[in-house]
Amino acid sequence: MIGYAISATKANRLYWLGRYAERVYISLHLLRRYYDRMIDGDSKDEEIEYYKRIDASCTYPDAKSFKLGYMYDKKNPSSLISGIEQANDNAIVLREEIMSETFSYIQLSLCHIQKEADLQDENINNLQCITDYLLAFWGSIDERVFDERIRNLLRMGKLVENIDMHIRFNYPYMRIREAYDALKKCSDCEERIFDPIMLKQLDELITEDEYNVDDLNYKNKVLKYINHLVLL
Amino acid sequence: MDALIESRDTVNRWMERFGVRFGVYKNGVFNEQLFPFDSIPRIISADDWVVLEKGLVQRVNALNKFLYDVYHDKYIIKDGIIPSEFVYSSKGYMPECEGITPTHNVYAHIAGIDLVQAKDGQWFILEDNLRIPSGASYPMIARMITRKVSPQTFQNNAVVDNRNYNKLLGDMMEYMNDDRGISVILTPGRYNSAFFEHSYLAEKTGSILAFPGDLTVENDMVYYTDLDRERHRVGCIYRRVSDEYLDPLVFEPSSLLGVPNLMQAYRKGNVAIVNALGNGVADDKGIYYFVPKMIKYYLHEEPILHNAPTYLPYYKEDYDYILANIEKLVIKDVSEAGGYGVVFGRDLTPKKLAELKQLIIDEPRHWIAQEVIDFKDLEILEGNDRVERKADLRAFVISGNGTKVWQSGLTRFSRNPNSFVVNSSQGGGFKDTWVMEQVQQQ
Repeated sequence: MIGYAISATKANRLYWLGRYAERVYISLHLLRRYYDRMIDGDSKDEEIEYYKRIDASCTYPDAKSFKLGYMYDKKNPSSLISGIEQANDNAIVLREEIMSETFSYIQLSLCHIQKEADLQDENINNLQCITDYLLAFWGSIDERVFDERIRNLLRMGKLVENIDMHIRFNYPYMRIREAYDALKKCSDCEERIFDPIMLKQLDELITEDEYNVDDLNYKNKVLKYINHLVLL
Repeated sequence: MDALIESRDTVNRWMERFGVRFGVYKNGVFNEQLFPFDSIPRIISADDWVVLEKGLVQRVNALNKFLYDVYHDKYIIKDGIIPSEFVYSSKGYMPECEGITPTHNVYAHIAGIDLVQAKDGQWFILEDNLRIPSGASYPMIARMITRKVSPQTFQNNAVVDNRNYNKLLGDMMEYMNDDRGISVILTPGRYNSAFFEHSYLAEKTGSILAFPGDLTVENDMVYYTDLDRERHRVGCIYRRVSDEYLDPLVFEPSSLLGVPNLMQAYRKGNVAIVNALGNGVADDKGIYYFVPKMIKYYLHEEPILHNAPTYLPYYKEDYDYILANIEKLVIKDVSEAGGYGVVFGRDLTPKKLAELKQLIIDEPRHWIAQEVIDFKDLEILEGNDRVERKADLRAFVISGNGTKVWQSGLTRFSRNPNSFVVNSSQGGGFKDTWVMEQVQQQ
């Protein structure tokens, strides 16, 4: 495998592969949580809360179509199938960077969700293997990709998405702090592709004293800065 | 071998897992399809392979000499072996390549030679592909998977190990690179029908997969620019972009797939382009007729492998024969590829036959005709049944520091029982090609 000469386009692809893989992984977790809450609570309330947290562009009339929509609706950019397709679109042009074996876990996820989408079964348990494939994907990166820059770019995407999703769903400070510290380690190696102004703003906002995700203004600021942090 | 044959679905699932697909445009929409793998291998005996190997090396050596000659001295035309109009009216002839000598004088670095075997066992060359022949990646990955799925099959059968294509290709690229810089595989992009192959070969040869826009030319040198805006000199480009799109300043001006000024760097000898530009003149269906003559002319040898019996309406005798026997011949449009533009006379109505005759009369240079070869059909699995289908073999010949034939190849078959067309783009599948080890005599 080559250890140098990653073009700007490929760097961008690596970053977004990391983001989409993480988005699907976290979305699976969150959807499982919301579907579970729907068992006991008011489904409509749970749907509305989910829409609000992800700034949804797609809404559905009932609980069943909500579930199916967030799993299998290709027109819904926040659905699992859209996320996997996006991950695949990035991974497919990175075969020589991530190796065929690593790429295969994205392909397995795509093939599985396409088959499940045809069945239109609303049971999210059928998608457990996608969680497993995505964990295997990251494990394969660790096993097979030795180029620090490639690993960093993927990891940056993963961590940015991790922070973005966890902020949206009001995760506690320590969860965000840990991911942010890990992201800052990447910034030490890839200083040039981090926006210093955004980094400074985030340093000031992601502190124990400042952290307040119940404040919409605060939340929007962090989301804006984290999504503009990486200059790719 | 039964264990392997029964593992067909397992192998295909592995193919799916590795994204072994090819793209097809239908009605302007891009779709990716799995390339169906059939687990019954084509088996070529060691003795047969000895003949094939010698014949393929001979043919490709002659074609390389022809390409040099056509773009330099043109002795073959001056000596009346090939009429000049066949060269200059060929769509593949590129006047822009006149006088250019590629690195180490090699033009057809990767030749994909299509052959069929007749029922009597004799091999015939169907066509030469010297521009950007594709397909080697499929048997490469198929062998990797089948060895994994059915190891006992390979333990019990003396099959030549074919897992060296990446080495043959990589060594050739390194030789062509001449220590000038890095080697890249230039792809038109994700939506090219053979994109799987581009990315897989890049991975397996350790080359950089370059996309349109990644390469630039400055002071007649080619560079690849990285994320830090550092430029890396490029010494060898294995391009998977057609000639006419490679340099918008010389060829198609609207091309976004090429590298502006690449021809200038190439002309100066600052970069090797694999395969060379202008090779289309040698794999033209009209020029095909003359390849046996090239072998005699350049190498002073008798051709080891034969063309399918071919008629050129350009010659009066052949013209008369074609018009008199059109219903039993296969007629090919010389400007088409990929199985398109191939018509079997026996399949046409009298009206369509008359129309085809008129086309040949109007433009004889545009057509060739061939006798229909009685192919040796190969067994494939259809469901759980074994049925026989038409199949060809694409052999890959690598020319760099010497000419080497990959001891394998892409066997494509038609899934349609009534069709001779085996191309993947038209629904065909593929098989592994086993070349057997020579058995040592006690």
